[in-house]
Amino acid sequence: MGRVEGGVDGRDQDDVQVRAAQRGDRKAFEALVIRYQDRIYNACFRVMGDGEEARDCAQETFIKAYRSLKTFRFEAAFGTWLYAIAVNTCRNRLQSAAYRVKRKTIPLHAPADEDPGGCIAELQDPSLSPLEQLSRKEGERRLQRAIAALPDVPRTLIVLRDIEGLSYEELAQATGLELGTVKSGLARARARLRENLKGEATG
Amino acid sequence: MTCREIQEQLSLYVDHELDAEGEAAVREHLEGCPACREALRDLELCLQAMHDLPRHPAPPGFLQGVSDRLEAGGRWKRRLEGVWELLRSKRPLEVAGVLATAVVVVLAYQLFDGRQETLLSPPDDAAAPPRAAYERSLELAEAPVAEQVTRFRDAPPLLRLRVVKAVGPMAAGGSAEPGGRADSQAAGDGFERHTRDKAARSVGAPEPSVAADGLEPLRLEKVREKPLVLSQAAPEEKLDSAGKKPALTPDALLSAIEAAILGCGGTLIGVEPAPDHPDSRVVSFRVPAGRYDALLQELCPLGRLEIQEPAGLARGADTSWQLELVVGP
Repeated sequence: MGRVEGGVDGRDQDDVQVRAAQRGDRKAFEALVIRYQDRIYNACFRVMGDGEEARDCAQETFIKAYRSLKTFRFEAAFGTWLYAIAVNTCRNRLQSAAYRVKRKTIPLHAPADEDPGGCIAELQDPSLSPLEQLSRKEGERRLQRAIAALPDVPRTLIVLRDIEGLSYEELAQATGLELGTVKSGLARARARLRENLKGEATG
Repeated sequence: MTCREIQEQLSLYVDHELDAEGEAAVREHLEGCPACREALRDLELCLQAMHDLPRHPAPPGFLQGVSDRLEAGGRWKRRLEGVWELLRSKRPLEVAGVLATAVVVVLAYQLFDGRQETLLSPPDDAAAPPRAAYERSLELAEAPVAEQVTRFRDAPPLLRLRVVKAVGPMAAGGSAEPGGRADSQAAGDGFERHTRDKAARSVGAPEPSVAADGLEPLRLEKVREKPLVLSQAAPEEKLDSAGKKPALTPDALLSAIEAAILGCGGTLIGVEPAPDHPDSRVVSFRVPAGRYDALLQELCPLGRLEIQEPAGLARGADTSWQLELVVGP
């Protein structure tokens, strides 16, 4: 699967379906879930670093969205609104006592290793040799560990910008931060990620 | 511009978010500076690696899971609506029956919940060393605060954070300026103590230490002479409003801010009404420069955070920063 270029797209089509869903059309809402489930799940996966947590947070995102549909005023793109809910859901989860207890008992470098859905295997390029595939998988693990070592807010900024491809404007809308804070925060987050990766390489 | 300033701009440079003048300045510097070119290459490699990460699609049955959870929520809502209708019908026998059932359900849930907590606990919990058990209890005790904090998201209060200046190391506060210490000890009320310190500074006296050993720690609840107002206007609808929840109380907000500052190894200097708005508060404090990012992370969930940082502040390990946080309308 390729990267989602430009972050949030298809706004007109979304708006039609959101209006239908606001009128109680469940099928229209399901169409929106199908359109955004992969993006929201991937973002949750990269923030949480764990397939099971990602599924829970992504499903909760859509449930919260459904229950708050009437408050959506079309000021931002629907996709950006979903990312905002997803970010808050993940952050709440990361800060919850239950998650902290779990994090103490399950080492954080588990994420890419466990790969519950076998996603990595499915995505591997058959044209690569086994050694190249192994190297690619190890690279992903190291990067995921470096992302997981970031505090919640920088991690969110990195995932939304550098993995999900949101614009700075969308990033500000999704995180509720001022544009200037987004710019300086993202620069700091990237610097920290580079440090973490260097640590991974030397450690 | 120095290499450090250029490297701080590289993130915006690669995203083409600098204006033409800024972009030209960075480009010109890069042409003559191998170190900054190396930093740019590092950044680009890092961004490429993230770009190349495989995407994980939602697992099979994802939509069904969303539908099931929505249905489950809907069923409970319908049941509650049924109970409400019954209560309104004023049929005493049936109402008594519903209440008795509710009591049984609550008791059963508590029993089940208790068992669940036991199952969730690590199996070796009883044998855990006292320190680990203590840390775990702290984490559990934090839960209500975390839950309260999430309530902000519907109408987040405005938090304006300003880095005032870089000062000496936090630990150097042990050698307190004598006048400051005497004043502080004489004052019975925290707010008076702070205003007195401020007056002393305003006439040119040396700044009293805020981390002096032996001083009673300054707590926010001691320095509020009138209630803090978080917002005067009706809360606006925010992007992330997922269900209406009551806003966190001002007391809980101030406690959370205090916990964030102390949790980052900071020291409170004081609190006073904001000059531009008497219902707001200015919280003055210090944190070690190295914990500044951690502080931002702690403050971010508490409200809509605006940050003012002067460029080129010292960030050494032996440096702390003095900051002001304006809370309220």
